[in-house]
Amino acid sequence: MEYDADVIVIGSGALGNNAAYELAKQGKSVIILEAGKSIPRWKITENFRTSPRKNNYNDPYPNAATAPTSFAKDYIENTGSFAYLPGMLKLVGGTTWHWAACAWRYLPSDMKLKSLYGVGRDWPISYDDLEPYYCRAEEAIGVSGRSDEDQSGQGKKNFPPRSKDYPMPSDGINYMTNRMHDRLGKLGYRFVQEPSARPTNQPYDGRPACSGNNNCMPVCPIGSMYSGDVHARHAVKAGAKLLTEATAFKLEKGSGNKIEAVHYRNANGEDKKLTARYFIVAAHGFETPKLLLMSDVANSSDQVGRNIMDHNGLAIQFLADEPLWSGRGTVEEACIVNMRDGQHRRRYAASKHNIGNSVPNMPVAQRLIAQGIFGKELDERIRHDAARWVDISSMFETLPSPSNRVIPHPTKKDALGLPTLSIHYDVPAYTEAAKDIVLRDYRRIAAGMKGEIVNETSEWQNHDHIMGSVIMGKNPADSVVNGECRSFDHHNLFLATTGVIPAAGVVNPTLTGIALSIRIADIIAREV
Amino acid sequence: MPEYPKPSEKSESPRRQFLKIAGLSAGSAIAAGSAPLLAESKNDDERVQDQFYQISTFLTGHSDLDRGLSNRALAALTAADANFTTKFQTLQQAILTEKVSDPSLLRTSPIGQNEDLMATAKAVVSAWYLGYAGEPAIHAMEDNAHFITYSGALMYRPTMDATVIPSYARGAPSYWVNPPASIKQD
Repeated sequence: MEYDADVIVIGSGALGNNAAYELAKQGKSVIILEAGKSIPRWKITENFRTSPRKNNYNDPYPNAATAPTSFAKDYIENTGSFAYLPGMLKLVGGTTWHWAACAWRYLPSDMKLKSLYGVGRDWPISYDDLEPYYCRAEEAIGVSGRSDEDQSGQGKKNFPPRSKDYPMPSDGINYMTNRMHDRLGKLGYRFVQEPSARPTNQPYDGRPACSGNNNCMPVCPIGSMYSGDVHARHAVKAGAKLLTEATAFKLEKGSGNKIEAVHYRNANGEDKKLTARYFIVAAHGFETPKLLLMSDVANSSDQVGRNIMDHNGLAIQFLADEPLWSGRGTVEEACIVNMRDGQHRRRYAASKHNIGNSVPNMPVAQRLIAQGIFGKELDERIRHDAARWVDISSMFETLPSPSNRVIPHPTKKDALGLPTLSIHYDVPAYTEAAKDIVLRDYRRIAAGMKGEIVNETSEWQNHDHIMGSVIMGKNPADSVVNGECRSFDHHNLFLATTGVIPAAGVVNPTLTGIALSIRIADIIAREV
Repeated sequence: MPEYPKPSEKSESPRRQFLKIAGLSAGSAIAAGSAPLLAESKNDDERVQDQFYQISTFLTGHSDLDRGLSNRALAALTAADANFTTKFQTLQQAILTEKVSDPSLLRTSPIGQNEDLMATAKAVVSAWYLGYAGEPAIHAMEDNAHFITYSGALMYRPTMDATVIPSYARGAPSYWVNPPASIKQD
C-alpha cells in the first residue's frame, strides 16, 4: 500500500512539532496538520499593544470561526461546579505562544504517587526512563536553570537527579527575589529559581537573550521565550510538510486494528483524506480526546476524555513594607516549594507558590482609581504601591477522577460543522483539603514581609495545565495509552499531549510533554 | 445630596465656569495649547470634545494631555456607554457647584457620596490611566471594551525609570539583579 507519509502529526504545537522534527531529521516523511494559520510574531505583538484586553491571553491571537480559540463564544460549555476554561490557541506553534516558559521536570515521587502516598495513580514509567528525554527536551527548547537547587523543596541538594546540566545557566536572581528570600528564608521558606525556556545571557538556537520585556504572557515580543513555532520551522526545514487550516475530524480504522487514514476539513469546508504508517495526535489536551471520541477509536477502556486534571490555583496580593519592584525581568522568576512533596500528600494535595514578577501598574492603578484616588495623589500612590506589590499564585495537585470529563458537545457545532467541547469538572476533595492550609500559609508569608493584604483569592482558578484526558497506565482496562504514549487499541497510534499524564504534580507539564514526544519519535523511528 | 442641574439649564457656558473653578484663565488655556477651544464657530461634537478635554485635565491633574488621545478617549467612553456625554457634563456641573479645586478632594466632597458621579469620574480617570474604556473580558472575546492607548496610558508615567511598559525592553539581560537607582528614596 502507498502512503501519503510515514507519519502524520495532528497539531502543530510544541509537542507535535518536536516529534515531527525528530522524525523528519531521521529521514522519515512527515505531514503536520494544523487547524489554524501561521502568523508572524510582530503581528501578535501589535495586536497585544492595541488591545483593550491586556489580561486576556487569547485576545492577540487569531480566533477564526473555522479555528476558534477556547474563549470563542460557546466553544466550551461547563456543566460541573468549576468552569474549566484554559487559554487554548489554534495557530502554528499552539498554546506555548503564551505559556511563560516554566520548564520543570517532575519529581521521581510525582511518578509514584500511589506507591509512596497511597493516592491517585502511578505513572507506568519511572523518572529514570524519562530522564534522558528530559535532557533532550531541555536542549530542544533551550532551558536555563540551576542544577544546584533542591527543586522538591525538601532541603536536599541537586534534586531531581540530572545526567546533564541545564543547557544554559539561569539568569541573575532579581532584586525582589533576593529581598524576599532574605526575609522569608529565615522563616523556613525554600526558594528555587524558575527553570525557564529562554536564553539568559547569550542567544540560543536563533533566539535572543531575554531582555526582561516582561510580557511572556500573552506574547514574547522578541522571540526569546520558547514557543512551538520554533519547531514548526525546524520540522519544515528538515523536510516535514505543514498543512495549515486543516482540521482533523476523523481517524479511520483499517485492517489489523491499525489507524489507516485521517480525514481533515479545510477552511472552505472541503474534506480531504491522508494515509500514513503511523499517526501522532498532538492536538491539545482537550481536542485530542475529542478527535478520538468523534472517530470512535482508542477507547476500549472508556477512559478517553475522562480523568481530566488541572493545577487548580489560588492567589494573594499584598503590599510589602519595602520597595521590591516587581516587574524587573521575566514574569516568573522564583517559587516557594516547601509543599511540593512530602508525607502530607497522603492527606492533601501538594502545592507550589509562584512569586509573580509582572509589572503591576494595571492592578495597582485599577485598585486606587476604584477607591477614588485621583490627581497627584494617584501618581504618587501608583509609584509607592507598584514598588511594594507582591502577587503570589499557587498551583495545587489534583487527582484523576473518571467523572471529570471532556466530550464532544452533543449538539453544538463550530463553523466547520464539528462539535464544540463540553466539560464537566469538580475540584477534587484531595485538592480542596489543601486550600485552608495554603490560605494560612499566605497570611504567614504576608506577615513575613509585614505586608498589607490587598486581595486573597479563595475561588479556584484555571492554570491551563490539561492532564489526564487520555490517561497513561499499565492496564489497558483503565488507561488509554501505555508508557510509550501508544494506544492500547491501535499499535500505530500515539498521543503527544500532556493529556497522557496520570499524576499531576504541581509544575507546568509542558517540558514533560515535550520529553514524551521526543521519546515517541524515537520509538516510531525504530518501527517505520 | 443636591440634584445637579444638567449643563443646558445653566446660562454661563460650562467651559467658562470650569476654567474659573479650575483656577485657569482663558489666557492660561491658550498658553497650555488649547486656544482653539475658544473659537465660537465649533460644532456640537467639537464643543463636547472641548468639555471632555477640560474635565480630563481637571480629573487627572495633568495639564499636558494630548488632544488626539482625548478625542479617542471620549469616543471609547461613548462607545462603551451611550449616555457618557450627559454623565460627564453632569459631573462637570457638580464640580462647579461644589467648587472642588483639586481632583484629590473629589472623594471627600459631596460628590464623593454620589455613586453615579463618582462612577463617571472613575471612568474618565480609568480611560486616561489604563488606556481603555469599558470592561474587558478575560475569558471571552465579546465585551464592551474599547482601546484608547497603550504606551500613552498615564499609569506607566510614575514608574518609567524603574519598570518597563510590558513588551518594551529596558537595559541589558540580567539588569534586574540590581534594584532601580531610586531604591533608597522609594
